[in-house]
Amino acid sequence: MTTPKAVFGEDINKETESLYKKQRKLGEGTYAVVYQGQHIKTGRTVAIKKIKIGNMRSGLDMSAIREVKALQELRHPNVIELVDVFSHKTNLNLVLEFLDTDLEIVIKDKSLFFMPADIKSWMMMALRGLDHCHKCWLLHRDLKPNNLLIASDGQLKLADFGLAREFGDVKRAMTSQTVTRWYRAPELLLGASNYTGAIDIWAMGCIFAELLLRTPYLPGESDIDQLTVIFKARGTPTEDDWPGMSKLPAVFKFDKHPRPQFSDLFRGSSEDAVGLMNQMLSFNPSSRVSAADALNHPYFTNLPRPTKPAKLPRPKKEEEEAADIDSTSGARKRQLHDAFSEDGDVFGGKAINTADGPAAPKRMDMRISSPA
Amino acid sequence: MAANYWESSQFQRFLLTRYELAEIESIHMLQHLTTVDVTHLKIYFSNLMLRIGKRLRARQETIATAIIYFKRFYINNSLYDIDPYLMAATCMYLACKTEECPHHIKHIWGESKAAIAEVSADIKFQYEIPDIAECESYLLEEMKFYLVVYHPYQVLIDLNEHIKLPKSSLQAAWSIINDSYCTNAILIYPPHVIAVASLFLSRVIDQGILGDLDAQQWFADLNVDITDILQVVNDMIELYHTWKSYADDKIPDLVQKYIADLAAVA
Repeated sequence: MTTPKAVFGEDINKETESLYKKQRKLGEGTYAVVYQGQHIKTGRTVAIKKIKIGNMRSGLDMSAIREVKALQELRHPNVIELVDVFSHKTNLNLVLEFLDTDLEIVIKDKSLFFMPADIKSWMMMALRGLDHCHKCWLLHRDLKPNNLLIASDGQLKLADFGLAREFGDVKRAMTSQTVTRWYRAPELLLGASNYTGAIDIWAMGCIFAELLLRTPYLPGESDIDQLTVIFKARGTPTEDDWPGMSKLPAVFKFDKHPRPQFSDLFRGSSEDAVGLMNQMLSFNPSSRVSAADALNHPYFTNLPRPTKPAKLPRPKKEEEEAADIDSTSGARKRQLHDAFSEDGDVFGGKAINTADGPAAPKRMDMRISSPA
Repeated sequence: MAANYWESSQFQRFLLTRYELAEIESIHMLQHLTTVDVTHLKIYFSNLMLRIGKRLRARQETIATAIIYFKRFYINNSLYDIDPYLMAATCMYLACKTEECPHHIKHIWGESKAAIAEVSADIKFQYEIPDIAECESYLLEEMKFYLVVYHPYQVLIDLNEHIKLPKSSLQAAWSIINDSYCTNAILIYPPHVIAVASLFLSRVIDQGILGDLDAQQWFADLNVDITDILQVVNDMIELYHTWKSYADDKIPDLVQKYIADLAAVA
């Protein structure tokens, strides 16, 4: 390369880099390390996601490209803010707003009690963020509780845009191998290569159900099993329920499961909540409710009103927990969950809980790396 | 993210005025080159990227994205800072990724090399695959990691929903948009201005018929500044005029000489 001379962009990049200092490591994933950092002048706490460019031979990988590309253009209170970007040697650093917990931790923390108004508040914030993405013609494609981060003021924000891409061009095929399995819409499981925001809505519906049940709603063990689990829970769809279903690439003969009574499982939930959830989990993608319409659903205007974000239940911080007398042993402390890490790090043996903590069921790495 | 150009970084951060650009070009180019040479260089590198893109079977928009990246990089850098042939290959590589049609870096490298050899056997492209990867990081830094760009093509398709042009006219307008990437129009104007200007030009060729509509009325009803349109039209006519004296085989020497001159100054 004939570049002994400084390239213009490099100076700006150095300037950006000098604005921040890294403080401590929060976690490590397969493709990124996350640090807590600070904007030196303002003192603002930030998260610095350092993306490893494993082998410099092929430049920035697709998920980093997708994430930077999406977050540089999206600005919304319910989408994680990309404060700055800079590169250091061969690493790319994303300076993101610092968010201390995520919805998965909240759901799993059995010491927390959810009121219906709390669930409504979370759903509303999540749908608002999603609606913004869809209005910008962007599919998130990886919604799950652990990608819904929660700020210290209670605001919920969509994060991890490593699989996000634009949609809207019918002529361009997209991979159906996307979205963590438990939240993957049936059309994806059946191999659709043209899909819409409805796949994100399905995932939101699953998250909604998970908030109501406090346990994953459709935990399939393999791709085929996932369909069986869905059909058992929701009934096997017929061509009437979902016109065009039989034309999808991966359709085969399914066992016929009857449509169960949802009210049994969701007995504690209000009718409007279950009604909206059913619309979000409709089999036919074109009749599945959109994010904008979901926000107009009576559920959000009926009483109780959604809880103010600042008053939502949240897990106790480490220090608070240590001070708690009821805490059985001081050693049991929760490590700050690496909210940005890929699932892969859990799979790779980097336990999130400390060794003596209760063995929380570990989530398998269900993400399949997608080429397109 | 084709929803909102007005909130995009392209509009808010990267749009330049004609005068800003003229100043930039006067610093980088006019020390050594004539305006005709500068236009020839633009045609040359746009064509080169088109060639690489065609070999990769990339969509027109992907090629257009690569050309914008190339232009953005050389706003603040000279051809001496980074070899334009390497940068052209790198821009294609990055554009393929951001436009969701990624190719293996080795493939891009091979096709770029072949495309350059096609233009002239005299051009030295001695770079290896890691050079493209390294160059990509310079490019990303230069663009401050803003990767989404908007093109006139979609606007043309949307406008055509209303006016329903015959296929040949649509094709003509589309080709004029392609040619517009040999000018600076995309750095100065929003995509819709270029789309409308291309329609306008293609209409001139077809003598004022606009499908079933009255063309004069249709242009009058558009909420677009007609002076902007005419400026772009003017740029295009100038481009076509300069194109007459353009010959692919003369440019490699020009590039080489120009880079050598820059090196002497630095």
